[in-house]
Amino acid sequence: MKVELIGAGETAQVYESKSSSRLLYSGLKEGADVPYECATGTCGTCKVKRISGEFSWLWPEAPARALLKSADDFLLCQCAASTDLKIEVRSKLKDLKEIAQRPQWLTGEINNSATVAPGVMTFSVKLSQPISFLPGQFMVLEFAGVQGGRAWSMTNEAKLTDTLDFVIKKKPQGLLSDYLFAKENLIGLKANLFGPIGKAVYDGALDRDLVCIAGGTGMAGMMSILSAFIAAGAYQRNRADVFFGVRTPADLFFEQELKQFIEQSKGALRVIVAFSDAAASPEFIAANPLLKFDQGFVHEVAMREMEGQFTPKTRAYLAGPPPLVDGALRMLLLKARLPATEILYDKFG
Amino acid sequence: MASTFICKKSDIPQDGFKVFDVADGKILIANSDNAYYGYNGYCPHQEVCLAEGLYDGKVLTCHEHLWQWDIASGEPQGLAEAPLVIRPIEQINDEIRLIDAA
Repeated sequence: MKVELIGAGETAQVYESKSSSRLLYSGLKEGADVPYECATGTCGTCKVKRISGEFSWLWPEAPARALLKSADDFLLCQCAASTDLKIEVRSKLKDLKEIAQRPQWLTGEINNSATVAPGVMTFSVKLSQPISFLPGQFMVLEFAGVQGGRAWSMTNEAKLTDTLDFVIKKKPQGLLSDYLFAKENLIGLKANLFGPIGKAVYDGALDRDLVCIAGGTGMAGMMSILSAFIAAGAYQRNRADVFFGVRTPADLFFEQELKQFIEQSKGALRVIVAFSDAAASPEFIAANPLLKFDQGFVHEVAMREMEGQFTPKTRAYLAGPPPLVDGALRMLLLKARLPATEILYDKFG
Repeated sequence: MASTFICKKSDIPQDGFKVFDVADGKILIANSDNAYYGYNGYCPHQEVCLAEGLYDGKVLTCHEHLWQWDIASGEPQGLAEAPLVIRPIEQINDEIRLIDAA
């Protein structure tokens, strides 16, 4: 089917999409500037309006469908074209053809997994072919027997790799996380993956001081960004302040990896772990001398620690539960006066 | 000129804003340096209600995708690609009123 996007400012783009394919994924594969953030039916960013043609819902119960105001509104990530379609997009369509790695469907197999904190697991997927991705990007993963996909950010960083590392949290009523956490052995489990996608990305060549504020497994993309910050040598000219929120000391993970980054950064990287529910014991603090600890909501800790230290070169990355992202946004815009163009995040809720 | 009551001036905090229901949707009334401005209460990007927007007395930011506008003119700033839609208002004594479409 032919899909014609009509954007603001008299911009237009055309791409092809099969009747079984998600309109968002087809557009991304062909380099169209289709709007999106979560790519999995929860955020509503890919909402568009039908001008002509017919579409069908692949997941009619998608949570973001509640945000739609008319029968002509639909979500690109949850709908397929039944006929040729003409669609209104409420932003200017930009030419994205310079993107190095277009998203695509890939297959892979889990070859490594570990429990790293209560209800938190890391796993690696070996792909059937190598890909490149940008630090901060994510993939949508699907497993046979579980309806729908879940978006998870890569924790690793590489110019070209056939291995993607993830960290996931067991979610209440999370179909896919229930499925994965219930399995005794994940090794050999096959996955379909779509990506890489996501716009909250970092380029190690960029001259920016980083402020990363993450809660729980929102730390995933930050690990990829910090890995690039070290690998590209950005620590020699920029600094990075990382604020990592978890509930209690028992919930902390990635401490070894973070310590390694701190050692490699030669003083340019500071990591402050904020515990929302319980303070760190003196023994815990003594056992982790490279990390700093504080108590409270992570975005509040971040603002306290960063007061007076924001500069015109500051770039902030946010990830985690919606209340954290909203709270951090409010503080960064209204108190730190960061320009909106320097606050990067992908909304998943 | 016919108009419809929206709120009292005292309902709008100094350098603050509120969103009100009107017959054809929502209207945003903002105060900036003791002047009042009226706009459509939905973001021109994805039609998100701006009631949860962020405002510093000069610049309004949509909380969803960080589109921003100069409140005095409605003109886009930063990431925004479209202006706010102006809703003409008038002030009569302590009332802010939406001027009815002709």
